[in-house]
Amino acid sequence: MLFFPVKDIYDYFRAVLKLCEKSERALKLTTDALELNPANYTVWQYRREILKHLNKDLIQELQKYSVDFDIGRRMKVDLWAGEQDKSKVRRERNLGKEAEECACSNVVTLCGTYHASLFLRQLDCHGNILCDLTNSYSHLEQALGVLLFFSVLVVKSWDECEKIHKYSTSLAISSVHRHHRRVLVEWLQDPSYELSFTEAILSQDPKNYHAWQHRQWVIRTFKLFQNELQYVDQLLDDDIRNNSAWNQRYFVVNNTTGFTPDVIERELAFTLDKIKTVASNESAWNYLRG
Amino acid sequence: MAANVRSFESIKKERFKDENCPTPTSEEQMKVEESVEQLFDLFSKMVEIDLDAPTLLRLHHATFLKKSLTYLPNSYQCLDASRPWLCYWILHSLELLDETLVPEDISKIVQFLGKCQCPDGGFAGGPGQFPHLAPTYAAVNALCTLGTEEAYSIIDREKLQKFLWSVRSPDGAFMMHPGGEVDIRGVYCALAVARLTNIYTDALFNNSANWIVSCQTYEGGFSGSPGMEAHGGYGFCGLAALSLLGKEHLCDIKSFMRWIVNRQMRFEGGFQGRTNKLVDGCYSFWQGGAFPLLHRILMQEDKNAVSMERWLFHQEALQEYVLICCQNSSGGLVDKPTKPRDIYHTCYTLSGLSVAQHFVHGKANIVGSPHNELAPIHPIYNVGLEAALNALQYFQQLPVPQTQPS
Repeated sequence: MLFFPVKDIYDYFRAVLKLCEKSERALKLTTDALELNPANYTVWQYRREILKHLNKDLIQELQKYSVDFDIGRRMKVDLWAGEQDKSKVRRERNLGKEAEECACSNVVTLCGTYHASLFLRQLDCHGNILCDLTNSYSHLEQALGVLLFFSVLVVKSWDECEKIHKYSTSLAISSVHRHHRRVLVEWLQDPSYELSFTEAILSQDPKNYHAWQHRQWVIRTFKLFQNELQYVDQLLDDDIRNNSAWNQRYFVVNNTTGFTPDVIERELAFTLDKIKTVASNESAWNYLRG
Repeated sequence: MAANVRSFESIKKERFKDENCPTPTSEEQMKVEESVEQLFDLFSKMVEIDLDAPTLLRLHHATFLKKSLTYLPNSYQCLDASRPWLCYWILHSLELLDETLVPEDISKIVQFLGKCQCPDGGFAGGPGQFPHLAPTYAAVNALCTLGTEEAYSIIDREKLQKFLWSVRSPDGAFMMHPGGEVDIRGVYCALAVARLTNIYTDALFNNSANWIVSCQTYEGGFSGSPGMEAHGGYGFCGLAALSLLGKEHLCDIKSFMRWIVNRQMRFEGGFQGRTNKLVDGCYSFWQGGAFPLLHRILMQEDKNAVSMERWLFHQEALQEYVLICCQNSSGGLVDKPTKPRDIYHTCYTLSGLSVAQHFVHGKANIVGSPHNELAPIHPIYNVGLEAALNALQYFQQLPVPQTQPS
């Protein structure tokens, strides 16, 4: 299936959809189709219907898409370390191997090689074309896992790594993918993977709207407010100007204690302290007004 | 230097200051400002020999768009589920540039969009896909832009209304597709197509205004869903949807105004989507396009408190950003310098440019060559003004379908 052209895969998909076929091979077809275009909501929706029909292990489904992110996150750490110390290249290569092994057991990443090979060809030509490919709103979940994976193995300079990293992070999660996870978590009534999943994305891209939206939904639905202020503090320590983190602070306070006089006093002190560090920080001022 | 361009020496004092506390946000911001400053500097030299500068590269953009109509590079493959969007972005951009298509091409596009229409109503991202509110909005806008009898009549209004019922949730919000995600785009898309094609009923949008208002955040803007961060795209959807309902007064207009006027970047001149984020050409429309709506609301409150000369943002600065920083020299427009061109950004930078050029009663305010003037838009739908009025008039003559929730 892997090397069938896009048109064939989608022709098959349309046929399967027309016949309402809900089989293993139809499921596999949706995997391939999503690999080619993760923004296709029809395929996601139909995939859910098949998963339900075949009574598939939904936890496996959730994890399938988490592995990529996890590799991506660990690679980022190593990539930055690598910039400081080029001798760490070997370690990255080992990690690359690990990713490769992981990829073999992971059908999504495996299919990602289709994109990766495409991507490699683009990369050989020029950086600009690379942007065109990776920045077109979509090559979403595989962006982190697969692109970073290949960047380590193939890309020669660290500069380029950084560039790829930049272009791939903003694409980490799409609204359709977020919705897919949400429905699965609803069916499972099990949010245990979701906080770490969103943290993995936010560690790459701390203002990712879809990741925050998913996180808020999980926290609100399963009442997981407990450690959230701590997490927000940590993000504000990383970047005091991160407005998404300020917004999350408001979200937590508003949904737990509410803005009682005591809490207002505490929040005023907190915010004024932050304003002392950076007086022109609009995020803090907006929070103060709110 | 051309008379209607800001003095770049004087705006350098508007550069971002990190107060000796660099963070990822400030570092990225300063990088973008550097790339913008380089272009401003280059422009300052160019304007000495070309008094008409900055010039809108009309021909290049039109060529790029027309080429995109028949051929798109592989990188657009990911938009296979957004094909009516591709049509709309291209057609609307061409309309803004006063470019026309031959009748055969118009008919071909109408037929294609007809294939995207679903048996049970609404439009899908492509033939054979499920119906979805976003491509429905895009398809209706594209068809109204084309504006032929064939284009209007291909919309099955009764089924479209049934489709809207099928994605409405009891709290007045709208799912993007049956079983799909709920966010503020849904209610805007639903309202826009309902008003434009005259299938709106009060029952269909019962409670919607309250749901929209619940998306207004402590910052004053609107978020995608309650609790989330205020965001330019969703802000436009929120304000436009309330305007379409005639219930703007239910939200806090003052705090919205305060939020949105601060989204224009002091140095770059373009808009950012959220507080402490980077400028992006597409917000020229998502933020810029909200100002005509805001103007109308403020006029209703107190006619004398509103300027009769301009919108509440720096219209010249936005035009400078689009013309100097967002044009790809071989056609097409971009998010910010160094970014690749694409038709989404081409559509929304041009739409924003049009808003910045035109005020009410035909008052124009054109930066650079007078030939830069684009066609005016209807800001609520983001369809060419004339096309929107023609469509409204056409559908007004048809009876409102009275379908019920199934």
